[in-house]
Amino acid sequence: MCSRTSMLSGAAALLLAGCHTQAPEGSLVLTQTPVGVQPPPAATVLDVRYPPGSRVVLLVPPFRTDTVRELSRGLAAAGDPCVSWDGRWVYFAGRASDGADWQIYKVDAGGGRPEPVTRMPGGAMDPALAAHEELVFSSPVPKAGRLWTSQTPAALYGQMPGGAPGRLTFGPDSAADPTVLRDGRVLFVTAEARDAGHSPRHLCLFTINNDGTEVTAYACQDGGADFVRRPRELGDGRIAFLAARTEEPGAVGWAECVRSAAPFASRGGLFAFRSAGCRSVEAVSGHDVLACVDASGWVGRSMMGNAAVFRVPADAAEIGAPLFDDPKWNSVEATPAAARAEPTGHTSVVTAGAPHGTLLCLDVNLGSEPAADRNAAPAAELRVFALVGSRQLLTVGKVPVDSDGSVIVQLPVDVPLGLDTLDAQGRVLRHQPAFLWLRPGENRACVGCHEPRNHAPRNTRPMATMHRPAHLDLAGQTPAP
Amino acid sequence: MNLKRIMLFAAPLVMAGAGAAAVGHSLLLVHERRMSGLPHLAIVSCVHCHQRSLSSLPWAKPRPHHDAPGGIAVSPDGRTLFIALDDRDEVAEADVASLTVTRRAKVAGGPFGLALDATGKRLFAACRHQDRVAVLDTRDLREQASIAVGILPTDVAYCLTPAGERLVVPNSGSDDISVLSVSPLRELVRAAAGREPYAAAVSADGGRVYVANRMAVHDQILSQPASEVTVLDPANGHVLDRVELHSAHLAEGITEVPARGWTLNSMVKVRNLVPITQVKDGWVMSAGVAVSDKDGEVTQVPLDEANAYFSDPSGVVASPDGRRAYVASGGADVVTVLDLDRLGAWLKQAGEAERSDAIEDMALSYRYVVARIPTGCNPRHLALSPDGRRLFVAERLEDGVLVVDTDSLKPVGRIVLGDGGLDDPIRLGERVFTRARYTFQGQFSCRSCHPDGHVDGLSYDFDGAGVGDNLLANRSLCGVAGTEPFKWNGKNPTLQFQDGPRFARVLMRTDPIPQPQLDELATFIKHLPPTRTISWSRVGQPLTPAEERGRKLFFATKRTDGTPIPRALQCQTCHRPPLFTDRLMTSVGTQGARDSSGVFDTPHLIGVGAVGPYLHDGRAKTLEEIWTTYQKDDLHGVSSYWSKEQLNDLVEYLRTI
Amino acid sequence: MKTQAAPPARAISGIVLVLSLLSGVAASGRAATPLPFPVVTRFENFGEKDGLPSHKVHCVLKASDGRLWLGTTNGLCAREPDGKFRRYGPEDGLSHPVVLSIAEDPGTGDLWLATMQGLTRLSGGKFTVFTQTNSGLPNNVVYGVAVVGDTVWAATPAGAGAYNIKTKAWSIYDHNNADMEEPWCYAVAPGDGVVYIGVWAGGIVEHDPRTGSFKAYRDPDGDFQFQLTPDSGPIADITSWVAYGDGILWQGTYFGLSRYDTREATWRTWVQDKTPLASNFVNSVFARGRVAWVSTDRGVSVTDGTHWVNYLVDDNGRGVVRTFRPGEEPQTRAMTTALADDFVLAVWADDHEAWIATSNGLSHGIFAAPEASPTVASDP
Repeated sequence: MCSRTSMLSGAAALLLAGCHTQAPEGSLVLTQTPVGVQPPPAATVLDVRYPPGSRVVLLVPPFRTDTVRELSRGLAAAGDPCVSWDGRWVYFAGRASDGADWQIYKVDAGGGRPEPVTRMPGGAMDPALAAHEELVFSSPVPKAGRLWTSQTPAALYGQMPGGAPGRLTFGPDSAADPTVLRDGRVLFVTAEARDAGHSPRHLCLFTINNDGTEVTAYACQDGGADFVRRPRELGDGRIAFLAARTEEPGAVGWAECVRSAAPFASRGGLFAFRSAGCRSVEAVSGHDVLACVDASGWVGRSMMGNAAVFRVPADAAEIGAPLFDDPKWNSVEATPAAARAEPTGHTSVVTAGAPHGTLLCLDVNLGSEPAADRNAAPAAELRVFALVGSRQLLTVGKVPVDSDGSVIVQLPVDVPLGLDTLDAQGRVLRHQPAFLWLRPGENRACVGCHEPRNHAPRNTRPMATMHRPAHLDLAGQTPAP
Repeated sequence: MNLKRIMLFAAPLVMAGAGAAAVGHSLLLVHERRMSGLPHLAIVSCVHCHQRSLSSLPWAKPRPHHDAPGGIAVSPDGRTLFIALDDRDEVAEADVASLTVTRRAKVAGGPFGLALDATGKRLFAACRHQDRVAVLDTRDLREQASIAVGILPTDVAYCLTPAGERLVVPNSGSDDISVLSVSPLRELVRAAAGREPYAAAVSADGGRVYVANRMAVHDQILSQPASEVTVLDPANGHVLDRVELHSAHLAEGITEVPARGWTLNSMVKVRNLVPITQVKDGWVMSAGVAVSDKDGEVTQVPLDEANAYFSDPSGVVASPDGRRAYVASGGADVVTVLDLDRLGAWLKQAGEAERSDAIEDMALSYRYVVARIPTGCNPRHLALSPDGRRLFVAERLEDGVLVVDTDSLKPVGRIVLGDGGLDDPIRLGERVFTRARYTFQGQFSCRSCHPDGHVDGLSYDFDGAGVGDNLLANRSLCGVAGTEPFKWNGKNPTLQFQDGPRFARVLMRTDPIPQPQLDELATFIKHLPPTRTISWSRVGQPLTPAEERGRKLFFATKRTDGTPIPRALQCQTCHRPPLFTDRLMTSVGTQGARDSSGVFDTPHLIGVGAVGPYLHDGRAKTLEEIWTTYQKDDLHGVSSYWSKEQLNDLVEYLRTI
Repeated sequence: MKTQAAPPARAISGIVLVLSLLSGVAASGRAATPLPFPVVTRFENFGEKDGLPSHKVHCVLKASDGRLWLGTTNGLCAREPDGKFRRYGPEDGLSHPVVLSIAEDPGTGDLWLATMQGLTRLSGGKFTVFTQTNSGLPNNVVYGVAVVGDTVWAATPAGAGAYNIKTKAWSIYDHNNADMEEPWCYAVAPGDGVVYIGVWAGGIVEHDPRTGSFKAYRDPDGDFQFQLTPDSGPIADITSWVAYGDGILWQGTYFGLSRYDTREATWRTWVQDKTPLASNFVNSVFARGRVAWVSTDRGVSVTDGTHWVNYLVDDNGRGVVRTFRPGEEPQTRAMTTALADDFVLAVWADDHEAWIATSNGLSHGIFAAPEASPTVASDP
């Protein structure tokens, strides 16, 4: 027999569960950082972005400083909000107290108490949402200034509601700033593949599926500013992101974009005007953009030296007046608190427990350089090496290349792999630093080696498919030369 | 009554029942194994062999009809549109200014393609379900004359030649082209075409007709397929050229650009020889346009973008000044506008390697695509007003014709033909079938590989079973109702299962189709009737002597010398009427080196004459080859005693099923 | 295996030729009765050095578009507008390099090629191959081909195959169903609403597609070596070729030539030596109207059944033309040029020219102007 108290509590819970307060139409969710507050010592990258006192707030029309409702109440610092597809929930990175790890929190968009949804050792950051409310985030949270040099690079994880996190990226460098494209892929930032100690770091955009398969270059690989952040898909077929020349803590950059129709050939400024001091950009209805920009020194705008929110039409010749500007706060991130079309889902092709994946290259002699510049000698072998443990490079093995340039091989999974094509004398023709990975059971194919970007394969049957794949694994391998 | 008595009374009954069931089970097993010739067959449903009649199948039953527009013809003064409504057996006449239908006329046999003569006084309609061309007087839309052509004509082109007026009719079901004289109305020539000739375009000078053949053909399963543009001289019907479009299929639309000396073909670039390990970057297929210049050089260029696809391109038209082309993408509900000046400039500066590579460069189209105009569901046929200022888009599953102003590239209205049929689950399923939104980036739809529910005749390498293993031939969906299980390995018990999560994993690379849409899709597929493989005039007629001999051979239980044919090896055992399948798994000795099994689901034979190539991986190009080349030890029926004549007779019979 | 005539016979021919020349000289100045068909005044010859893929040319056809096509032992060959020869082989899609016969579909302009390994259609520049394994073709060895309305007929050793272009159905006619002695068919020719099939050891079979009936024409004396009853039927049952034109059916055999007037139902037969026929060994016959160009192992005989012109090659390789007019003495004169070889396999001719396929090249026969009568004055 149940007690009356229990019954009343249960009824109240039921009532409350059905009582969801919707954010008023037109509302925005902002990250506000207090003006003039410095990050604590031994800060993490999030502490620099979101100093103590930073908060996530709901800004309701008519966008006045007194129409702000704090969503991150009770947390020492918070930022980087991401609204669920149905517009009911807000996810953000938060810190329960000074010294605590940053984790991802979830709060009712209409207000309520934020609850943590991750418990990642070392913390979690950069929340994004895929289909079915799958949370994508980066973990751990590196120390300030060490995002791209940490010995424990951040990786992307996916986590279904109520589920355990699963790792998605396995590259040698951190993976950060994920966003989910309408087609369901996760677009994120990581460093272009390079050998250790060689070449300056160049950040660019890659995509993966929500099971970590098909890691693929998306944009910014070839030239442009070396540091990019916060990519966001706009409604007009563009991908906007922030670019900067340095990764110094606190540095802000400007807004750039690429066109999804030809991402490697279309990098340029997002706006027709200079957008230095841009903190973030986000898509809003129509083809407008929500941009948070340092407003200091701009004629006609705030002269207080803080960041304000602007709504910029796609063809605007100038930034215009701010949509919202609170001189006590830097409004550094803004996103609509509204329902949006959910991205396409993806049925995972990962076979849990499978010890290997399969790599098929249709023609290792096909690269992105002009035909006249290609190597005269065809490749005879493919050598594979892997980056294991604390960045130790191991040679996994060699496999012969078929006479049409195709090769198929089973390889270890969830470890960065590099490739060399070798001529008949064993000389290296092409070199791919350890970067790409295969997930368990993944069958991965590529058109060529340093293949032309955004190229479909020719319709020919690769000779490699006529025989079973060679098999290479990590057992008993030796350090790479 | 106490429990003990109940037990005493019931126990014998239970035991008797159990005994009867055991006996029945044994008898059933004996019966099944004897009749199927499969000694290890487990219990299967009686319906496997004792099938329902064809009339009980969904496709045999009456269904709703819709005002789905097919071909469009514009009057010479641009004021009137004629719209083919094949599902209604009607032609509609509409006023362009008011965007309203002014008249409808009955035209029997499913008018699908339309053409007007130079004066606009006569309207010619290709009636695909009756294998004829009807001639209508546009004053009263009454039929004046009719002439039989080949099987399933889909279009008709009118031209004026030095030898007189001509009509050119692609016959998609008989793979040939009828060239007719108009006065007198008679067939002059029947020219062989490629596979499924579908659309015809006349050169501006009337000296050539270009026929787009929808499907690609290959020499053998691992060779690159190609579809064909058949070029004829309409005056005498001579075949002038057969232009190959490599790895191009679903090439349904063609137009000439006289100002440039080009023809443009809408096409899908298929990559069936490459293992399907992914979908992005056009890996499975991509939409494009084939540009043929007057020197005969063909360059295929993409219609798609690096991260967005505009699948199932169909109708294509070019502006009179040759500066713009419009292509309807039925899978994406979009009409793409191409700037031909920019395209021409790119072609001019591109070297041979660049042009050869163009269709694979998914980032190329931004150079010449200037707009994508959203349309209603499944845009297919297009037409332009004579002055080029109005574009008419037949929205096949919207039951309307969208009218677009070509200056602003914005719709100005819609000619409403029907209500869209959204209360008809079959129509809803057809929308699912034709929409590409269920695949990654909308790269392809169900229709892309199954045009009109049929088959593309290609083999594919799905990576689910291992890269390079288990090459599988595509299968027609026409007439599949009642033939479950599906898939060559027989693992999919229903259509919903076939198109469900595993399909999403292996091919679509997205979430599975939501259940309601999956059910609608299954409903639509079940209502697809078998493809007609004989001339309409022969439907319901007795078999020819050769066909009758073939039929007897099919049902033979003894060889010519009187020796019995083992039941398991009789054609009729596995291919049991009325569906010509027992829906069981069988081996016919065709396991290949990379096949994980040699046991396959017995395919049904309804419409088999039109679904080549044959066998599980498509290795047999023709029906004959099943027995002349790929028969082993009489495992696929006892054929070793057949003469060549008998094989020919059997093939003739199979083509009637 | 066909062989050339034995040297002694050639020597006799040479003597006859000289005598003919002498008599011709003596008779010079007397005007000859005009012939009812054009006469070749000279030959242009083409061989491998001119670009032919092989010296042995089996068949020749000038298509309706004016292009000349040759079937050789090394592929199909076309003469381009610039006069050059272009070869097509199996690498282009041709079923086999040995092309034995060519026929044109007058409706579509398609060419149908009989080869040693299948029947090939050349249409719009594309080859499509029909074999006994991928189609209803009775046998891969196709000796002769003809297009009759909507049907393509193929003469093979396993019967005559008939492919209906519209229905795509194949029918096979052989000794089982077609009044044939045996299935080995060598040639097929369209008649007036009927089809004639030349059957090796079976004479000629006439098929009426409208009724489905078959009628055989057999050598009445049943002896293929001797003509016991001349002008009473096919001269022999070993038919090597059939041709038809304007009501006249011609039969070539290795034992002479037959002619059947289908309207009058009368037969004529010719053998060498006793008649103007150049040789009993007839490889093929080309009919144009009521005139036949007869290809033999010793040259070409052109005849309407009454008048004859033989194009021969003497032992010294010189060209000789021998003319036979009814009621007149045969006239013989030397030609400035000769056939490429007197082993002639096929001919194609119209009112302007003749093309002659031989075992050692191709000859282009250029006609005299229509009014000119060939005089007998010897040429320098």
